[in-house]
Amino acid sequence: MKKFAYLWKNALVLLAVLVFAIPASVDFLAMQKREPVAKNDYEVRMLSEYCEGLKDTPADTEIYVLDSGVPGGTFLIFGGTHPNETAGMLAAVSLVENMKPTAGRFFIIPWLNKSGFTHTSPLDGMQDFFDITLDDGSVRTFRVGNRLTNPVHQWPDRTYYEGTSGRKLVGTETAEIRNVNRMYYGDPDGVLTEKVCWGVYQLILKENVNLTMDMHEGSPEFLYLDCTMVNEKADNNTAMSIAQGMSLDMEFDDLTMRAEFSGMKSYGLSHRSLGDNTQSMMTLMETYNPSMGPLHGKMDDDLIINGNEPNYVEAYQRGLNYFKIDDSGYPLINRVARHITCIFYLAKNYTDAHPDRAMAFEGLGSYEEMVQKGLGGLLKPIK
Amino acid sequence: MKKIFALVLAALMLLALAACGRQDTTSPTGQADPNAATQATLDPSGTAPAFDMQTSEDKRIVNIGTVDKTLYAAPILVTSFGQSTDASTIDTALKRVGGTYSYLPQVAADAVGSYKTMIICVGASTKGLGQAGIDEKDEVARAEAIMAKAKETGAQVIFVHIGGETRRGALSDQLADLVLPQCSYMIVKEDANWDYKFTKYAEEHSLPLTLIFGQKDTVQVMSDLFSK
Repeated sequence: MKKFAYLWKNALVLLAVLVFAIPASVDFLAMQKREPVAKNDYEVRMLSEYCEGLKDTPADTEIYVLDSGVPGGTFLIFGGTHPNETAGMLAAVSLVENMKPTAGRFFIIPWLNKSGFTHTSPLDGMQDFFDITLDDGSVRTFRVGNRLTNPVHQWPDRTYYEGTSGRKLVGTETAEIRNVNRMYYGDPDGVLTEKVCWGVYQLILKENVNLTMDMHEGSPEFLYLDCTMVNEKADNNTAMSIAQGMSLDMEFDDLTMRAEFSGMKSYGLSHRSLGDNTQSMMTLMETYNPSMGPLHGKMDDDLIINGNEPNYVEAYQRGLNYFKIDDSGYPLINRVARHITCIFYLAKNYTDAHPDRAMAFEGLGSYEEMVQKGLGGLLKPIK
Repeated sequence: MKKIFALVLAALMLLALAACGRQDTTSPTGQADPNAATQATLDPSGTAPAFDMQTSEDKRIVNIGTVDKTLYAAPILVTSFGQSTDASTIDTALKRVGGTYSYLPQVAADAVGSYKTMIICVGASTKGLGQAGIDEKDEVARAEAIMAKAKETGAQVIFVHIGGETRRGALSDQLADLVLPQCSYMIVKEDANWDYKFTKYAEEHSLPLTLIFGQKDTVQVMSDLFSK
């Protein structure tokens, strides 16, 4: 009997491991499941059509193409560059499900860093999922994700890396090798994240994209919020004029949306690297997300959806935050509607400047109408 | 035994926090604009310094003094001192009112001799200067040369400061001080006037001044100024 005692001990250790491993596996696998998208008149392509190396990888992602049938320009819109910046992803999903293009073509990618949506940041107090109840009573669940590619899919982070971006990843920036918005214009033979960047770069070149919007959110501490970064270079340095037109249109709707020059040293960021290396006018928009900052309190659906974080209200009252934050919060629907309104006015002003490359759409309504509908009315039921 | 186990677990948790709990402070927009960062400290809370605003949501434009519109003849130049996006806003506003003008934000002094009216938009932006490939010293030298040329040709100068409070850094003020002595009309977004710099200057020099509440008001101001 004593001879077999070690078997019991080993079995107990194995059992203890399984007690932790099984729920962890269930949790891990749940994050791999992609969210469904409601029907609309779109064609679905994959990013691997523009970067073969992405095929059959966890980073390959859907591109929804909505074509008006009316000749004009091409507008590429993506959310989910940073999966924890929820409004960009939901704005893209809302556009895919509601948009009725009336001129030109729209390429929309809701989950650009698909791998980043498969894990989260538990030590930042983030949660994996949040639910939105639709007007018909059905519930749609979305992942929050992490701003970086999942290390299970791309590992290890190098201690020194220099990709095509010109950005030297060293010291505290080594993990940024998994950040889509540091690795443009990518590399077809590089790490997984660079392949995603290469796919976007090739899409812009092959589809002759004229205008691109990369949707982001930031922690309330940042200066560049409710702001659109613009690479001036497109069309002989006329891009800022189009962005200022958008900014004024937003202001006429009582919405702030500053236009700012893209930083010359923003190596590897979409607006800098893709703007410098393609024909497209490159823009990147930011709203602030109260659930992202280090001061956020209890993380739950309420904070993610209603965007009211008392710690930030207090920080602002104490003069510690530049961006004005009050107790009305910054609900997700307002941020989604702001992204969509900015896109609408960018298309309008681009069309005014280049009528031969017109791009326009209907189907989502004004900012006020979207806010009134709420996310429950904006998102469509899955049938 | 339990105590030791708990201590070990607690120590492991601390180690895990030390290793992975870093808050990322890198903005997706890239580097922060150092100019904007220093300016933000002027009034980080938006509550101080308190000053009496004459404009408001309901009264968006306040005119102090009378503008002689006949002074501002064509050809008209719109340029930037400091390379912020504010000149581009004036460009957009003038487009909307159908104005005829040249928009040359980085124009050199030797190319401004033919303009009878110069709309000079003052506001320093590190990002804008970087985008234009101009350093601060060169921008100040360009501004000085343009003002000297304007003096020589007798061109009318309209001072525009519509970047608000965030465009009141040291370089912006230096550039403003170059333009103000030669301008015949001032247009200012009022939150930039938190220390009454512009209202005091207009009063002391009997200059017409238009205060606006937001950048969209530039469309109305340009329309009032250049409509026949």
